Amino acid sequence: MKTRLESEVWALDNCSGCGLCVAACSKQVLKWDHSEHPVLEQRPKVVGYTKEILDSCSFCQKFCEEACPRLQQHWAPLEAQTILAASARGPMRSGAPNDVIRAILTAGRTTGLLDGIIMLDIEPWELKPVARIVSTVMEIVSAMGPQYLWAPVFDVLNEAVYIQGMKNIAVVSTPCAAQAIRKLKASTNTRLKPYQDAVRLTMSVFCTGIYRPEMVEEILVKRMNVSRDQVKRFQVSPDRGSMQAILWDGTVRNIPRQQAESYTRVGCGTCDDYLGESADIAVGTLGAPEGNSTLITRSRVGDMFVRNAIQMNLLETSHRVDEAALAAAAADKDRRERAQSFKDLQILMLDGLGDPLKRGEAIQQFARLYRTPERPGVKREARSGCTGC
Amino acid sequence: MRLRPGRYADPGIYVLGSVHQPADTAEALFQAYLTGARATRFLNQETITLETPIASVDPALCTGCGNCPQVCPTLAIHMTKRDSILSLAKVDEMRCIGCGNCVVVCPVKAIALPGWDNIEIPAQISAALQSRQNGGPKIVALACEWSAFGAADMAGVHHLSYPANIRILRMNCSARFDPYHILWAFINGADGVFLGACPPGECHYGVGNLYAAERFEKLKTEMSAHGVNPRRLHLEYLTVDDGRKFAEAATKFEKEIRQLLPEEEL
Repeated sequence: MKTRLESEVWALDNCSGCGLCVAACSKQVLKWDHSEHPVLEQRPKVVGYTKEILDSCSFCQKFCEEACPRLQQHWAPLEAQTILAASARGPMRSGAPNDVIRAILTAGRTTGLLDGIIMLDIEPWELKPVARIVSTVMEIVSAMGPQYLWAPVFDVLNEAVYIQGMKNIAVVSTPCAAQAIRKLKASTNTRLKPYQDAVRLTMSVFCTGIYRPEMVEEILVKRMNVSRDQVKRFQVSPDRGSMQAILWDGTVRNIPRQQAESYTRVGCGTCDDYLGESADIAVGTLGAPEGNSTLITRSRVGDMFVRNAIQMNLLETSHRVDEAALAAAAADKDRRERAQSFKDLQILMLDGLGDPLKRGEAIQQFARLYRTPERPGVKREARSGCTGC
Repeated sequence: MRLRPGRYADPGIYVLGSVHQPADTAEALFQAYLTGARATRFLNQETITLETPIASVDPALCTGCGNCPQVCPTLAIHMTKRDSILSLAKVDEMRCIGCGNCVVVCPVKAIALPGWDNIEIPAQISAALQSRQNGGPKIVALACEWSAFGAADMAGVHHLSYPANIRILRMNCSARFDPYHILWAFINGADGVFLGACPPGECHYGVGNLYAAERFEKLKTEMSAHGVNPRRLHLEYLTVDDGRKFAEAATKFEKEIRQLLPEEEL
């Protein structure tokens, strides 16, 4: 039933853009239409001589609601099993997060634990982010991995599960995609079982927000005057401080992270998950020594994949991780919980219009949220500028 | 275009006397003195002080989500680095024109705009809803000061009558029409909320009215999904001299709200 997604996720600018609702929709009536959230396709229905709009959601089992990670967002983080500093060995000798991810995937694919990977990637012709199905070791090695440019990653889920018939799929994306899979797996709806069975592993990168693909056009093409055909590769710098366009002539153009952040998806404003708290494996640079990435496993499956990669000599690990920095970063992004409370307040206020009990609660919550708490050590600037109202 | 005595929509252009409405010599002279004083004051100063309110970001609350730079009409906001994984939004004071669009989109309400603050507007709304004069429905009108507020003024000038139970609150721009404030009005007992914005293409701040229209549509969707009649919210495009249109729209809206309400509530 799209109305709940429409009124509680899309209208509140809360969509994470993972695309699982589009994939799970049994009627295939949700589609992407140049907007930051899916839209419901209007289909006509012919009754006798009249044509009317088909209300396709009236006879649906609400697969989209079962799948949407933003409908019930208060996820308790999965407990970290191991926290390691890791770097990739073998053909991808590097400590960058995407190389660590590729090493683990290569090991998983070679041993037959996986037969397919769904991941975000950059399409080199247009420099556009795309969701890709990767199935051979060769493809894993040549894939770029997530680059913080947004594409709905689950757009290819149906193809992987139903057309290519993959049984053991890994999803490599941002924390919200891992949340979506976690929610999907918690569902009791039997029609979603093919997906539940097929997705074996979720991997996520540390994420503060994902950028709209227009960023490339606006900053690189318009402001830096670099045309798309000059660019050989587009990637996140190893320290995650900037987006890098590597040109064919060997020069590198840097887009600072702060500049790119002006193109963050609106839905990321309410997300408080930095460390991939629902993913089996989370990888990022924060807290790791030079030339390494921090690797957090949060489940038995994640542990197994990491052990497998170490045994195959594709991963080198140590315990030199600055866990205090990780905790501080997680706490920092937790401040976005406030954004979520505001979204909740809006729903509470709407409910309060019909329900007198909730009305009082909404008024109290409104007053409580808008009263900005004074914090020690932070001085608010005195407000100046009487407008003479 | 006159907004309030001595204030005009286009900076630097002043219209006096009978040009905008019939006025006798004394009135025209008074306006000329006022305008002259303003022009002299402007020309005499060494440094120019901006009159517009300037948005300011509370660094303790800002979560660096990057929503505000995307909606700023003058590109006055950019993200800056700070000692944290999250960045901080910074407002360029010289560029900010005080439309309030960023205040509305901020998901953590970390941006303050003096004069049209998140504390002040709800307080105005609840004060406006405190008393009920003639037993009719309670209606709050949020009016953009560059259009609808001027239009309401013009309706008064032309002695046009519109229902007295419409309380008009002056807002700086329709971009500042915050869904939270509209819901706050409803939850405090408003039967209807009337929004007055500039027609598309005529916004003083660029495209604030288009943002307002988009938020208006979204809020209507949410209201109907939660069983609230979306007709209780109304958006009207008005220009500053649309006194008659304002009076007509307000009267029509009040009548419509009256029909929606059950008998005993009136």
